[in-house]
Amino acid sequence: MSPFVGELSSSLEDYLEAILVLAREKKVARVRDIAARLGVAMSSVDGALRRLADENLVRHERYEFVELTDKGIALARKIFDRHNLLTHLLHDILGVDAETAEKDACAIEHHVSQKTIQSIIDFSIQRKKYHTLKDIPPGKSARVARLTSHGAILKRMLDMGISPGAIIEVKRVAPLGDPMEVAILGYNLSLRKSEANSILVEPLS
Amino acid sequence: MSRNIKLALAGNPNAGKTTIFNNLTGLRQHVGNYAGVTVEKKEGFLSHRGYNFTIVDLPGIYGLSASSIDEIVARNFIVEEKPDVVIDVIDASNLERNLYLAVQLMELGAPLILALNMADMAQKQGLSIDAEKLSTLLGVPIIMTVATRRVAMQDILDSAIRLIESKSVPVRTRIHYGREVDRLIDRTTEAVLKDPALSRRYPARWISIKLLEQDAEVLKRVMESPFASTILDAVEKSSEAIRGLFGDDPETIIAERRYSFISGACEEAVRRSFEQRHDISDMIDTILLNRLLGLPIFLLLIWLTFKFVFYASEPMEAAIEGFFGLLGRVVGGILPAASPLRSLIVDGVIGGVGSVLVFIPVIFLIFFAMSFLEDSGYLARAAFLMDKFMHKIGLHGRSFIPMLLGFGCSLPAIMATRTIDDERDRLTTILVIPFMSCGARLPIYVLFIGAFFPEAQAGNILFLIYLTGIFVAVIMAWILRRYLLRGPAAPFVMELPPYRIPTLRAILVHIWERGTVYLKKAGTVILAGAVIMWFLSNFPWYPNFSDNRNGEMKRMELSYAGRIGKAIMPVFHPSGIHDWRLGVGFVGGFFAKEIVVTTLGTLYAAGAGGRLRQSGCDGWKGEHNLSLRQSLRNAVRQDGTPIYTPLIAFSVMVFFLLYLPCISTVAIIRRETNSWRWPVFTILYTIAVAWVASFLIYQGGKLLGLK
Repeated sequence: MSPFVGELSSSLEDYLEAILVLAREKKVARVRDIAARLGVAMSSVDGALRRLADENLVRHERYEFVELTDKGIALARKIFDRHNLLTHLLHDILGVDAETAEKDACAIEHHVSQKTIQSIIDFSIQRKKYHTLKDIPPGKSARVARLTSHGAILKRMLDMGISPGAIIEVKRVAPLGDPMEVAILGYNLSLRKSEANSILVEPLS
Repeated sequence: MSRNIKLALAGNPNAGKTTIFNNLTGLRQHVGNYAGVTVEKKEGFLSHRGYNFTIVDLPGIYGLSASSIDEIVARNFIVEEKPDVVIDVIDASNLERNLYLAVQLMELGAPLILALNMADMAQKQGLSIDAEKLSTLLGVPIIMTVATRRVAMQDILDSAIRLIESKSVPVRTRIHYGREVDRLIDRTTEAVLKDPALSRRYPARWISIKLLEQDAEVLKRVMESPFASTILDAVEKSSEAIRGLFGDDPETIIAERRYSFISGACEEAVRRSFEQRHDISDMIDTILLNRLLGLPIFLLLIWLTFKFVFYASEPMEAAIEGFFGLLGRVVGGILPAASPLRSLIVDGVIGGVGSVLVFIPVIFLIFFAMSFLEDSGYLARAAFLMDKFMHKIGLHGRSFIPMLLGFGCSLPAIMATRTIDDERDRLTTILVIPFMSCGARLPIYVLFIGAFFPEAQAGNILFLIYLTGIFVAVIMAWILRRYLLRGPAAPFVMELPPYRIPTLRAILVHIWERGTVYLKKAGTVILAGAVIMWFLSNFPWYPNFSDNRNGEMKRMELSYAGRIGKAIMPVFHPSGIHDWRLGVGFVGGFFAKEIVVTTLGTLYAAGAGGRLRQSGCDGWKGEHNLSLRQSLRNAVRQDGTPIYTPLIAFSVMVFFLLYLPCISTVAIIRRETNSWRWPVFTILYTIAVAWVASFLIYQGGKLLGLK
């Protein structure tokens, strides 16, 4: 079985996270960038990558580029998500300053249980801090994080291109205040606010 | 020697599928229904290079899940009828979303060719698509088409022939869902393969993917398998594993991976030379969907459309009626006077054919307007604008326009409900459309309002009648949707297609299609109804009545219609109605609302014959029915009290408003719901609603001291 969150050492989890962030920001992760981001020597990066490759989490064949495997992506995303969630909890909800929140989140993220994470998610949804598509004002965009609907409505949304990672721009709201029009995959789509409310998003600036 | 090729056209709505269908087949098409459902099946025929093609236009769909009846129909057609070729028509200017269906068709193992349509639009948007590369990446032949300019239409047929004649099986690219998910799919597939009967019908891998996606239809099939529990166990385990690994449902993960496969392919095969931020469509929408201007513009456009349709159809209807009247007189002159044969041919057959054809102008014009609105992209916007209101009564934004058309004529209004995707929404809309007061009912109101209300109030009373109709429609829609046609509200996740200029050809084909459907399917029922009504109002035959006013009156009084009118009258006493002649009017109104006033005219021997259609009645002072009004006012019961008071007149009008749609409407409901159940239901429930409403009005009015 593949390692689940918590089974890897905390430093290896940091590596995974760094690779994912770099891949998102710069398209590729290079050993040099990983070293710079984590403040370690390039030789340590090499060692860590070898261990990650043993676990089948990364591919490190072409000498400088590092690529996450599917398994690696899944795991990294989980770690990354809990990091963001913790920063969000500490900074946005509890009011800890950004720098401390970032540092503490790094410390907590490797030790916190999945149960607690779920409770934090539920709490932040309740607090309306985790945005839903409904809260995005016209003219702004957001990235889909999670779909909370089920059945026919979920299938319909997936058919229309609303899947995690998709970027949605809110265009306008109908004159009567509902439904709303959004742009996704280069075309226009309308959906009711009640449907938009089931789409959790991260707003993009 | 000629061989047969069955070719199915699949694709997203608005991708140009129907345009391609029409280009290929012209008017050699046949419109029917898929067995057991109301989804329309369009087939066309042609020959090309020694092959006889049968082309099937599948319903427009976005995916192959079982979330809509259209998707199930399309999927079953491909799996069960095994077309030789499936052409997936793709909007090249909207490639990624359109490829989502293509990828699923690939997985279904369909003999697939992609037609990248609207290649010109894609180019205008700065997209250059390397079709050859995309074809290699997907392992599917690709052709580029521009359906609106008929570019590469023959290529579609040629490529189909090439696919069939080629001996080698194309190497289809397999979509990878990532190592972990693939492994779990494989594990499920192993379980599925245990039942050979199952995997003979559908590709095993496709079944396991569908099971992981929680597809209800496939699940039902699998439940019948003797290996059901083994298979479902494997599905459950794999689903759990995916959830544990990714923290999301398998269906979401699978969809996400398909999109990333597609975006990977597009990244390689599509180059974007410039980014077009605000296209013309967006600019039009900033005006047409504007917060302040959107609704007024919508209402204005609809009002203009309405005016155009009903004013333009009026003279054509008059001409048709005039022609059949003349024909009746000419033929009647040849045949022996006062004979049943003459009456059958003149009143029954000629009159009946006339009453079928008289609807043709309004149907053609409404579908001219409807297909213009739909093809231009505005119909989806209309639904967007009105959805909040319609959703409140349990319906979909798309129900608004058909209901509005009901004010003109229920017939095309019901035919227009085809634009509503959800079955329950569509049925509910069909069932409440008859409450929207159609043009043919207006002369009845004019007669009764003119006779029993002061001229100053006439407009208000008429308005009140129309409002009553709307009110009842709204209430009934809410009740039907909540109790009889219960089910989750259809999602409003709906594409707003870019605005396009409709092609005249597409509009004409659409009109032709609807017109022939009406003539073939509804026309026969209407004609039969006309003959039955003729029989009821002329038999038993009394040869000794002359053809003058009094003779006609007597004949009708003694006819079956007259007897029915008298027999049903006691039912209406609680509503304050005590006029058997009106009973005959009710019977006649089932045939056509237009003949109610004429029938009353005959029975009051007031000779109010002549045309009394919508604008045929010339206002409150019209001379047409002055004497009939007088007769109604003077009519008394045996005890000398007047039959009608304003309150009773109002109760009568409400009954006419709500009861029994005309037989043409019933015929079209039969055709559009593909069953006898709903037309029969409509007949019964509208009578019930009408009776209750007129009863409440009369008794309630009396309690309030109204007269």
